[in-house]
Amino acid sequence: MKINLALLFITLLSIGIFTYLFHGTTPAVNEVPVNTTEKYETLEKVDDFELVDTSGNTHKLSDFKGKIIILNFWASWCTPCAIEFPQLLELSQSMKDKIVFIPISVDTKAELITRFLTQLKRRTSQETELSNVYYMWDPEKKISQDIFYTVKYPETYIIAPDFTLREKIVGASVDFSSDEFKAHIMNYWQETN
Amino acid sequence: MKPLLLTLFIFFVSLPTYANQTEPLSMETFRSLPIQHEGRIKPLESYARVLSKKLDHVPDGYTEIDFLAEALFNPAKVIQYPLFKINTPNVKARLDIPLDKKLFSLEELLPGLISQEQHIFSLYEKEETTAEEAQLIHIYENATALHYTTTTFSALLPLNLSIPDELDDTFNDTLPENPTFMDFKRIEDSVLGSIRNIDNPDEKTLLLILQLSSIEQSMAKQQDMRIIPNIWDISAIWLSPAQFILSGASSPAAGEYLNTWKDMAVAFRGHNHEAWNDLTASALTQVQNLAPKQVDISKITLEIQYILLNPYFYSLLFCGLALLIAILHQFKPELPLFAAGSTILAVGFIFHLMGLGIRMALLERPPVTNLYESILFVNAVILLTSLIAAVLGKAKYVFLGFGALCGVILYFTAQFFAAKGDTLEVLIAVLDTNFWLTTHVLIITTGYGLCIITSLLAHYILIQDKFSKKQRGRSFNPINLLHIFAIISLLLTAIGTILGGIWADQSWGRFWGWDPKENGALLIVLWLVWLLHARISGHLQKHYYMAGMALLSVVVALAWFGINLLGIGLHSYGFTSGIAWGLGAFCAIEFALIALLLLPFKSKAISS
Repeated sequence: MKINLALLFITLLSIGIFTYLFHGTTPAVNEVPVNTTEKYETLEKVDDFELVDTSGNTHKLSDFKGKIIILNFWASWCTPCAIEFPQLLELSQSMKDKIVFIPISVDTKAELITRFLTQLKRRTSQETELSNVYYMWDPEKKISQDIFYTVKYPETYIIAPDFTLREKIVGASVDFSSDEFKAHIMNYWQETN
Repeated sequence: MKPLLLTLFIFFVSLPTYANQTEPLSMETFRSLPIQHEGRIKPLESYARVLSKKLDHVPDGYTEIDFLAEALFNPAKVIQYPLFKINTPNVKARLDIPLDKKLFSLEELLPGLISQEQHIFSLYEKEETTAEEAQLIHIYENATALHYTTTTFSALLPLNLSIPDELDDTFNDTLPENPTFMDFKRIEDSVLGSIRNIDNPDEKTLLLILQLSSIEQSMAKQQDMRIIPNIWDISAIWLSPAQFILSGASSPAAGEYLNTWKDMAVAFRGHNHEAWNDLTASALTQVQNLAPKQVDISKITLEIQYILLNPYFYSLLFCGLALLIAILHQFKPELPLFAAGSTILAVGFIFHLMGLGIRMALLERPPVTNLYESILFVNAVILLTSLIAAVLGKAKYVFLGFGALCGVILYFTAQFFAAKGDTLEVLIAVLDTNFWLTTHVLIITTGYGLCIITSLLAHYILIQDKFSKKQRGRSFNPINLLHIFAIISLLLTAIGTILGGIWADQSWGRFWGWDPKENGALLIVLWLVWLLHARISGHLQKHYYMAGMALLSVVVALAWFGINLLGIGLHSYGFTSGIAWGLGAFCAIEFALIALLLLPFKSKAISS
């Protein structure tokens, strides 16, 4: 009888404790943990590589270290590339001292790039020859495909002044000339300067 | 399972030329490479085990990881292996495969499965399927899984596509001897450009473009082998090589990691030990650098040790040995075997506990989130309780036998649930709170374990009363013991049920909803309350009380497994098909056995 009473007491006590503990708490529906950690695990350092411009001159990516590098893979036949190209040029023009814009064309012929830029200038009156814009040519896709595994265009990488890869924008999904994007990209500048 | 489109299957990779094959390649590092599968980062060894469970036959000389490596890097060979067993003539006829064969290769099955794809999809809509239809779905799902594994690297491995002469001349310097999809991708613009300038393009060129387009479409559906971390978003799921290339989630470092996989394929196909060892080690380092927070190498190593050690198997061996000792005691009571028997059972328990401990370390939660784990936990409860009761109590050999018997039976029961895939499952959202898992689920499953011991003790008393001649000469009073176990079982199941109600209130906003699982738990409590009260009040004679307690095993089995057969309710995490026959047989045997043990008492009671 004593054992039974003891067991009954323990049971009632346990119920009482749990009722007290959870009384008044807001019901939490399906407590799925929310990931509040940072978006990236690590910041990827960019290994240096060589680029060849449309005139045949060789450059190194590290030549542009210290500025925000916008690496854009594009082709003259790609419609989304044509949409975002003037925006990128406008961004470069407005942040001349902070940004280096490197469009890397995968066109098979260099004259296609020249024709595209001429038409663009005529169509939008956007200045294409800027001091902080370097037109590169990658017909064999040694950079776009072999290093960056890019097979669809356009793809844009943002490299911070400390030479870390910060962002990748696939397709013409961002308005590069917007004030929001300019303010956003300034963060990389302020962070590393 | 949601059906998956097979689409085209033209990724026949050219056959390799092996060098010296006398010594197999070391899989030590390769098996440690991480993959995200079913929502969890796990070693390739685990994925290999899951894949092998989908096959009816693994070729001789292959371990699971060997077979996975072969499927990934040498798919042309693997698709020719007879791996799938089909016995039903109608299924064979539907798939247009030879009626006189039993085992079929993926190469033989794919044309039939593709032609029957719409029919198979329609079967998913049916509420009930025939045995033939179920086999067709089963074959389709397993063949699809292997198909996607074999085409994992179809973008990076040499393709068996014929290159038209005009292209060969034009791109002689660009294309390697055995071009891959990515090599073709490099010249895609040029090829398309050249076609635009030709009035009548060569048929072979058009065919090549069509084939490459088909490969790309099919690649977009490959999602099984998620081996590449998404470096752009830590919370995003990992990527298969095809997704990595096509979805725009690539980066130079991750691309380098994929290149290492490509080189591993070359080393594997060339049977180059040195390169293979270097590349697998390099791949492991690279992926750790890509996702240092997600790739926990100590956990990966622990999981591999868990798989390779298989502690439950050793637990089974020791439990089996202890059971033999308990049986031997029945025939030779004079032999002093208890010390040996209890030590052996304790070793079995330690192995079992080791397995549970590793599971807890890997999943970071109590081991009670699916039926498989609950069986393991109940087994641990029974083993521990039996050991304590055997060592401290007077019914030494009785509890030694109980623990050992349950250790053996529950091992095989657990294996039934483990046969379907990875047992280290990710917790579904409804269960995802360690506090409630630790309180409600642990308490109620501990209650299940003690109910089983109570039931076994009742069986023992019934058997002893029927067959043993010297009932008065026992060194312990089993009825008192039964009473204690029944009360503890009632306490645990009652507290567990109430805690379940509080959890339901927290999660679903109501304390009680007459859900099958809730009813099942309540049924155990009511059954025990009824028996104990009936006994205390004198309304139930001893043997009926014993029979009722023995039937507790049936009540527990119905509450534990039976509710999963109903297919309704909020506890959908436990739904399992295919256990109806086993559960039905168990209940029938229990009813028959208890009735058999009870009948003579009834006649005795009537005569007295």
